[in-house]
Amino acid sequence: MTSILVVDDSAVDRRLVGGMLQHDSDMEIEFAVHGADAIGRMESALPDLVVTDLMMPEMNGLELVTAVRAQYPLVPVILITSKGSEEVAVEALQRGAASYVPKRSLATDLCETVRRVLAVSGHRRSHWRLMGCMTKSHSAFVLENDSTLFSPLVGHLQEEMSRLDLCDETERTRIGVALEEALSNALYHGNLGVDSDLRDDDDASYYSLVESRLREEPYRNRRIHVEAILSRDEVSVVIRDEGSGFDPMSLPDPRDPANLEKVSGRGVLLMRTFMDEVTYSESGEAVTLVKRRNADSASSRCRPGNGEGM
Amino acid sequence: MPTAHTFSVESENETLIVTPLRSVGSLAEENVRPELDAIIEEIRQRELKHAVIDLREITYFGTSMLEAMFAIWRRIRTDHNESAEGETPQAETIRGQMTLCNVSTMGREILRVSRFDTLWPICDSKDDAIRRMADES
Repeated sequence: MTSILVVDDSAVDRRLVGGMLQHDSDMEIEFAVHGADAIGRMESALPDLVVTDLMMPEMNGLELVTAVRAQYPLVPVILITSKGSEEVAVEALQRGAASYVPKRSLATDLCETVRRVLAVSGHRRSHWRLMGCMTKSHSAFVLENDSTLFSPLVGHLQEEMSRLDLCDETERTRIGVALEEALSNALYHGNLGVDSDLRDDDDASYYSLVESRLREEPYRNRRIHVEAILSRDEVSVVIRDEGSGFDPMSLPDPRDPANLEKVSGRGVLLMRTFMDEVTYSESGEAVTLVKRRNADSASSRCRPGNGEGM
Repeated sequence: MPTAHTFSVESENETLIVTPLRSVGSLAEENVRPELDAIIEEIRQRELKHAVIDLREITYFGTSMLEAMFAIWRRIRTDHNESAEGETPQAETIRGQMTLCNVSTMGREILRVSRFDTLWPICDSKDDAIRRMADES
């Protein structure tokens, strides 16, 4: 049975909206008297849909839309707006409301809007449940030399990690930082073959060389190959460039006081700290980054990085 | 100054306050480098002594943002005492200071791991950072 939470501080309006919805026998209607009351009730039992009035004490309809969106993103909210509140309706949609119904159109539009929103949210919930059943994902990408693709790629992999419940948000962020560093290395030092020492000496020359090589053969046609295998136990990402490789041992150690005022080497240090394993191929053109779920922990958290000892 | 896409900039007395508005994947990205160059030029032209980097808008960052902060710090820290014509050029003189503020937990971890926390003091708020820089003057 579909459950709907009707939120309104007016007892008359609660009864009116509830009565309209109960015409559909498959709906179970619960009531809350304002937004804070609704959030309290949702903590114990989640409805399939929320229908809320706009003007209420404690927490109004717009604030409720925001709170539900943040805490229960799969529960849609329909806002009932009064005459002259078209701007509020737009704001509600921007905040994530699924739809709105003007109060004067309740009798004609409410049930149809509820049915339509439930159909869409049901599909989303099913998809979410299906993704929750995923145990492993294997994906491969071939990227042009375009650093603006790094963040979307990392975001995509972080979403996959979230679905697999591999680790918490903090760990996902750490993994994201490590992946972005590895991708940057593949682009600038791998495919474009620009030495990071140049950045420490003269960063204007460094970026000038980057710009020119992005347009020159053979650098511009090189690609970055990314292969990611994610499971509930481990994330393993191989990033390979088409450059001539490098010796990771040649990087300055940023922990050495003599290198404190150099930028180079810090990206690899971040990678090594935030991942469990960072290994380079013999010729240095491919790096494999691995992060495992911490088997010793009772929670589903990854363990913190261990780069301090490296 | 170019339109602010990546950094917003304000100043208070001798301190330039730079707020990164978004994380950057690379300083080679369009708009990023011109904005950074304009900041460094402003420090040079106005002979500003200090910088505060307000990180309230970004929860984490990588070496590209560290590199941008490093470039600002390098300009602030040295090079103010450019020699007058005919004088023997002086060695780089350490003068200005840079402070970070509103750094997230993840940001602090990144600064610690990359060892930049040993170069740049971290204050809790922008006001604290500006006060600290005023005390340095």
